[in-house]
Amino acid sequence: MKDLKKIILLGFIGGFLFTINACKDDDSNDPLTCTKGYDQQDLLTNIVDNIITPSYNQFGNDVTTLENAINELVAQPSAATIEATKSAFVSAYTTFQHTSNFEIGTADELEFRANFNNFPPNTDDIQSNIETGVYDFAAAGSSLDYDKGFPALDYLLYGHQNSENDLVTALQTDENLQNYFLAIIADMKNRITTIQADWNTDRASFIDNRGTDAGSSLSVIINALNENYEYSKRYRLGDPAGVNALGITYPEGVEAYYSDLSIDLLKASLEASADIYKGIGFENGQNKEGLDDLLGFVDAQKGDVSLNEVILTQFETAAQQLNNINASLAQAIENDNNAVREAYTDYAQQVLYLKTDMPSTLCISITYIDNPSDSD
Amino acid sequence: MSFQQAISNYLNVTKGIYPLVTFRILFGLLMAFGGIRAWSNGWIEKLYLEPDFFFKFYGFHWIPDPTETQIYVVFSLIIISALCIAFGLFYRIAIFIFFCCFTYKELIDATNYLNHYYLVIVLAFLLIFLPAHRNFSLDVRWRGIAPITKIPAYYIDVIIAQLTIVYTCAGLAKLNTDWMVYGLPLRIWLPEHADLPLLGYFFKQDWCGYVFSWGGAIYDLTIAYFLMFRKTRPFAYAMVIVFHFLTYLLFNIGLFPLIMVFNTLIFFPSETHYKFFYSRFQKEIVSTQNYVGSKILIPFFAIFLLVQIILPFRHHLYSGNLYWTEEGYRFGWRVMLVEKSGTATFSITDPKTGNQAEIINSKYLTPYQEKQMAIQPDFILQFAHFLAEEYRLYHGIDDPIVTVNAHVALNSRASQQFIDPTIDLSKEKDSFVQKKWILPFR
Repeated sequence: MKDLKKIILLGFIGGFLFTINACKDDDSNDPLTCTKGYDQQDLLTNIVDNIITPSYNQFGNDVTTLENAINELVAQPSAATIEATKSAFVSAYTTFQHTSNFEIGTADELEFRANFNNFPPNTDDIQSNIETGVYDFAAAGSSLDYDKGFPALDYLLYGHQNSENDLVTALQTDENLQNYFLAIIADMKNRITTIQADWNTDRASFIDNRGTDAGSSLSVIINALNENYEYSKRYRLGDPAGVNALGITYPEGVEAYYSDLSIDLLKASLEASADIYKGIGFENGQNKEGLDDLLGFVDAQKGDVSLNEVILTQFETAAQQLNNINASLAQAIENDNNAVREAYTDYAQQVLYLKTDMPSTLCISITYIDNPSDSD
Repeated sequence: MSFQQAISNYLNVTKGIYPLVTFRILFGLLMAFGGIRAWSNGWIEKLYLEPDFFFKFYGFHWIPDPTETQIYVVFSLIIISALCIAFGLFYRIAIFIFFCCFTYKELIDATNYLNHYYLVIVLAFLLIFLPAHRNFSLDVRWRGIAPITKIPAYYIDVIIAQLTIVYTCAGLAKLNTDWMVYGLPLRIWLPEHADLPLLGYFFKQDWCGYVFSWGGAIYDLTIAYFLMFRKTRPFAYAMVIVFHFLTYLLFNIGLFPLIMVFNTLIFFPSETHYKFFYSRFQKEIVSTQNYVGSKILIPFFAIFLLVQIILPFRHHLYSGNLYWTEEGYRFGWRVMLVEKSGTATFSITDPKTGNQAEIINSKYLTPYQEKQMAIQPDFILQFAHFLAEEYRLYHGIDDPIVTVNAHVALNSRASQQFIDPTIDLSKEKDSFVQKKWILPFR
């Protein structure tokens, strides 16, 4: 018995030496740089107080302005009230490109992006909704439909009728159409009011929730930033440009097709993402503590270059690509899809930096998924 | 004493049966609990019914995908047979059914591979051949099977040896630069638990990662041997409890801590088991029959253990960084060893038209599958083959070119390109041969 144990022991000592010999590695620097005692307080305070909160507030104001404009429009349809509504629509849709980055907490629960911006709108559904008057935007499955929010307004204001005169006439005669406008804005208003109220309650605890675990605020912010960036990549660029469809393009699938605001919104969205990364205030434009500073602090490297530089350059490159797209996005997809595809490729590259490299080098645990199992 | 003599003497040594009985009872109860836990957490639905595509282990592509009824039957059988094992009722049939069902469910989708599920399979396999129901069981009480008190020592030692292999290999696997020199990935993982009361303060400290790395390696390398000797055993078992309680606190590893805390009781002698537990329920039964083991089991166990010793080291047949390529990684007791994340974006090209389609992985895979696939080359290859078939069948492309842009980040580093992006994966075959299209770790 004792002998056998000795034999086993000897065997393992042999195995031990066998393994040790095999794991020589030429890494000479500590690969981990993230634990240099960075205090997240300034970063979280800046992102919360100078970016998220003012963005929500501005968006809330914009939706209220849009609501007033639509009330006016429905009460007194005219070229003037249409113009006022369109102007409020453009402002709100542009601010949405900022808040679209913050699908966190209540905004996440309320499926912020899906309920405000499922595009392209399903015009058949919208038409039949108006005709029957049967629809419920507050219903649970409503976020799966493509008949409300900004895309529906985009269609109704810019595409539904042949001319502004026709829209005036339709609004004067069709009570169902009036109600549809009112229902869309009521749904938007309800949701953003709840989101704003909850955010103001959660704000302080959100700043206090420091750390690197999957539930920490920094993890949540990075996750939300990534989700929106991927949303842009896939829905704002990829789907219309036919990236996933063997070259079959779908120019009508761009965001804000009818108003042709697509490229402007895309630029606003890119700027919003870059501003969060850099920590640039939404209202005051001041560059304070951002993810760039954090990556700089831990001196994260990608190959031989600073990861922060890589990401900043990539934002610049993507912006340049969008500038290369002349006129409208839908037209570019039809006439010069290569430019759009190049922009897509640059977005995809940035997703790698933001979603894989940044969390890894910052040691931030991100749960994109609900792990349906154990790990080991 | 010559080696042959030592062996033959050893084969005649007997041990009391109670460690094996305890092992059987706790194993059965834990497995029944595990089955119920998976069921009530909705994991059956998520892991076996939601996915449209399943990844397989090499050589097991023939394993059929279950229907909804079938998978629930399989889990029902697992739970029922596990209870039968615990109570020792129709034990031989029960353990065989359990082994088959559990193994089948693990072969359905290889992305679910966990070392402790593999351990369950290995232990269940050994239990098929062991008379664990021959005392303190319903088979004895109701079915009139004669109880026994002494069995050949190798019936118990085979499990002890298996557990020793598990711990030792887990320890050897930790002897790599990242783990020992840089304390990775524990220095990433521990600070995530800074919120825990008392311990959280330590988890925040950078040195804690090094201490835990070294502690873990030393524990794994030595614990089985400390459990073998009477003098060190009580202290060693206390360490087992502390160590696995810590892993329970830190990681989402489910039943694994309990499995090990229960299993290692088999290191205690039969008298201890009897004194602490069975003496309350029954008088020491004096066997009416002298249990003689089946001689064929001796070489069988020997070969089995030899395979178990060799299998974890097969990675030496491949060049390259094991933790990067994962060639020869599985079935090696490499537990919670690396922090990896990755992305894999596939592209299909129609060679005739040059048209391209980028794949949205989530159309075919669950998030969990996608995450696992992105860091394991054989899964990347399987998915590429699946995509080639999809595009052949549903998009009429005769010979689709499948490439992947895959990047993986290992242990807090920035990511590196993982797979050669120029290789048409649809032309590559899976095999045990080294995969040339995995780019080296720099």
